[in-house]
Amino acid sequence: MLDLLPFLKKEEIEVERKEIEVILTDDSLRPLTLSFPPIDELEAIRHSYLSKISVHDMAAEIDIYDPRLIKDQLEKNYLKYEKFKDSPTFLAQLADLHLLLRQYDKAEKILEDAYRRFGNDFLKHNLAEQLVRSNRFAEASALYDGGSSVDAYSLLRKAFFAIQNRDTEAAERFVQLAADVKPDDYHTLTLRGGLELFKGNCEKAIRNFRLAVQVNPNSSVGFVNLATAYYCTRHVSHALRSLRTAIELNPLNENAIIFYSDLTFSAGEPAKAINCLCAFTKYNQKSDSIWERLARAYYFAGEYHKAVEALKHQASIKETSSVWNNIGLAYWKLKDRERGLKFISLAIKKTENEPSKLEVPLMNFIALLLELNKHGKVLSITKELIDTHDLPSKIQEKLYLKYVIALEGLHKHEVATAEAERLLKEGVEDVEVKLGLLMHLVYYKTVIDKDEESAFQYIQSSLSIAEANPQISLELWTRVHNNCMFSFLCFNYIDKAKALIPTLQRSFYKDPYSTATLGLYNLKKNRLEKAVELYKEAIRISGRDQGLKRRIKQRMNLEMGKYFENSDKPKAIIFLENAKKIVDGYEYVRRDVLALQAKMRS
Amino acid sequence: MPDNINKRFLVADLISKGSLSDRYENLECVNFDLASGDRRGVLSLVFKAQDILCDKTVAIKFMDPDRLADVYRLECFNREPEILKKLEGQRRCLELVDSIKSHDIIINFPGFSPVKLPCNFFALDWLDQEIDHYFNSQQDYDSYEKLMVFNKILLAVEAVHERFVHHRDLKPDNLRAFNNVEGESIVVVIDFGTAAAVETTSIKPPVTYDGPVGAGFYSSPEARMGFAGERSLGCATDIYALGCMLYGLFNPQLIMYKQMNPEFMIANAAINIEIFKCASIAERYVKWREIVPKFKHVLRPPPIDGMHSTLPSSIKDIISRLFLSMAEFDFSKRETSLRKIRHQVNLAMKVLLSSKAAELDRQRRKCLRLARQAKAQRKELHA
Repeated sequence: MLDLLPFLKKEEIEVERKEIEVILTDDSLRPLTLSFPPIDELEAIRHSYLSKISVHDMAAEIDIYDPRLIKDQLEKNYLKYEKFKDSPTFLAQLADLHLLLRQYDKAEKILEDAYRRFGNDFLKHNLAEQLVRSNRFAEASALYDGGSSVDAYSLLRKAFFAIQNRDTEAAERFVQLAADVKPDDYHTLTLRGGLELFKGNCEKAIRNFRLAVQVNPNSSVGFVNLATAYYCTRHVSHALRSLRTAIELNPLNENAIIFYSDLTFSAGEPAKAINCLCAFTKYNQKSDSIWERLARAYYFAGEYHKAVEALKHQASIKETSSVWNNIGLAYWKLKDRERGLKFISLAIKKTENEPSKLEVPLMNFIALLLELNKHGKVLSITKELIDTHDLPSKIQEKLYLKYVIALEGLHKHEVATAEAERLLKEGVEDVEVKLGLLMHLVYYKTVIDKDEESAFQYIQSSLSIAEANPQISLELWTRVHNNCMFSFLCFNYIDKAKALIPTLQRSFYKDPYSTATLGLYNLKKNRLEKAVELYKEAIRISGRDQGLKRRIKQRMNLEMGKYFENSDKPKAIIFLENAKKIVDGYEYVRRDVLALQAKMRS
Repeated sequence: MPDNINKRFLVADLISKGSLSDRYENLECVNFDLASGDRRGVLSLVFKAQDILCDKTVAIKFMDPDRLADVYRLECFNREPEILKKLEGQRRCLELVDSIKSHDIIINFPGFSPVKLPCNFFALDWLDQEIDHYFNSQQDYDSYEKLMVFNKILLAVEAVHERFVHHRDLKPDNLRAFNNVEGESIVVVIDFGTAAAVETTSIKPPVTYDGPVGAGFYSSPEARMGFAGERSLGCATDIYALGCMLYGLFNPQLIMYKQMNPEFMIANAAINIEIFKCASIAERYVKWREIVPKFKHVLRPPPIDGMHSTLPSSIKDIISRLFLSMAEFDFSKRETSLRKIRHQVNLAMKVLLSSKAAELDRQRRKCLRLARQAKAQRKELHA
């Protein structure tokens, strides 16, 4: 079964921004005639999702311990001052109480006096930390240098200062000295790992981070560090495992969750991050990055209503072109195409001040118009954009592809084919666009022109391009091979079609087009029952796409009619009649049916 | 200060009369300064007095006369002598000298007829030998001494628990040393203002209290998070406070300060949100069991043997394990047997005794302490 619209839904939900250099003015968007979602819907998104909880904010604002109790305790301690004024512990605790009440100057004065009198490491560290807190790094560094003994903590602090000053050599020296004093310290190992990672020695970084988490197996941050190092060495499964541990150790570690979500997405399993993302939003609803990733995960898990909900939360925090674009896509998936179009229009409008972000919503807008069969509109928009704007070649090529698809939709086969051939002749850089144009030509030469030689030539090109570009999406890879196999079967090259079966093995029983093509292959091999079973399976897995179901049925009836053409004419007539009756089917199939009926009558 | 007006009347009245109930003389208010209006404590006014009947010094506690309208505080005040009665005759426990009585003060407002203000009070043993130096000067004591005093604290709390009373406000300031009739130095728990007996129920509506119970430094998570009234958790709450004290004996920094890291604070905020959303205490228990394990790693107490800890390496494992079991955030996972805790403390003490290094360490610290004291004395003489 031929997949005629291979790139219609290529542009998917957008999380990571793509950078392009196109700058379009307001005028250039005039032909798009944008319309927006109803104002009340937008207002509802802006306001009804605003009352959000954030434990992160709460933790910063609310004191776990009642400040009145701390103040009371401070007063009590001052009553004991005379009794304990010679105790470094008492003085350090007095400073702690002032720090808890955010009285930093008083705390610093107490620590300074105490350190001058007793000079121990504990007071030195506390005083230096206070200096760091007030951004007095030079004084803190001098303090760490002082004292009677060299301690690992001071050395590590010195290493931090060196890193801040971008002096990695000095940092390494301090870390080495700290390691000499305390080789199995968590902070020493972590810092050493970080420095190795910075230098690109990922294996050494892994070794250090692993030792660090062995020393402190409860450190969520430690496992995120380890995951980063694993990711840098392309050990994705190890990175995922470390991130899972990091999230288990601290379910509110936003960094870990974002990293995990992005990794599961790139590994093709975005739904795996849903649980931890959901758990996070229960306690912090003010992170747009988390809502964005939750929406993406729901979207790819097919839970579009939940995706819209998450995106609306995101939009209530930060209104961007991508969030409106994503809401549009989710509505598109929910078959609410008109509403989808309005949100994507809003996304395009939002790029007025950020033209570099225009590409994604623009391509989605055109793809959605194509799905709504508004081919005429697509034709005018793409033509206008190509003719009147100096767009980067990458965008121009994509627009050309949409232009060819629109021509095809308007049944201007010859013009579309000529345009595709011209473009290929002139040279197309974008592999996906090139394959898209070739797919159009294979389709045209197979089912309309029935030009075996040309079709084979394009099949050859398509297969070699796909072979040379393994980075293309699995979806496109499958469609290229499926369409080539279908073409071979149409021209009765059963063996050539058979050679493509191993490549398509993974998509059988999953992708309706490939499954139907396998049905045709079995029919050609005279395995009627198997063929019927496969066609029925293809119809079943088409889901709610009634149009596709009808088209597969139409194609099946045509092929059955051909199959029984010589052996059982009455059956053939019935099948052909069934194929003809199907409304909304392929025009070329209908033409083939009529031709076959005429042949049988003669 | 208008909110101290009744306190001023009461203190002035008692000091001017010089006696109370014809039994107590030489009254001296210890937590309210008449001149400055400064006060300490939230519940009561405490007087030091001489009991001429028993010929001993006693503490007399009055309900804060400025908070007589606070029904919850009043109930708590009235509950304290009842609880002390339950401890009568128990070794290592504070003795109630006189049960609750009333003393009326007459307040004259110019142009109005005099107003009679009844003030309730009760009397207790006066104990003034504090033990807070073990905590505030922990660096001056060797580990054996510290564990010995901790063992005495455990015995004192155990004595209270044996009578099915939970203190719920344990802290070094509420502990006193005392030489009993046998001449043995023991530790006694004082101030039962927030204590509760197991068989009693929490103070009923219309009085409602959902706030924390206990000292900020040593109050357990459940006491801060809506379980303060739960009698069944009293034992766990006391053990948490003891865990914090154990930390304080070996660390120069406050445990609460060590916990103030962003991860801990965020997890606390998350639990708070969930717990206070629950309408009933039963729901709170369910929610606690559901949510606290999720954050168990973030909520681990800081290591007792961390940087600057004075815990000797020979008992590091025993005490670290013990501390973690006592200062566990989740009350359902916390150690509840004081006998088991004492066993571990005794074990650590035995290890220290048998360790030569510990002996040397003790001598060295003793020398240091003596030298410091001598230096201080010299300074005083010089001054």
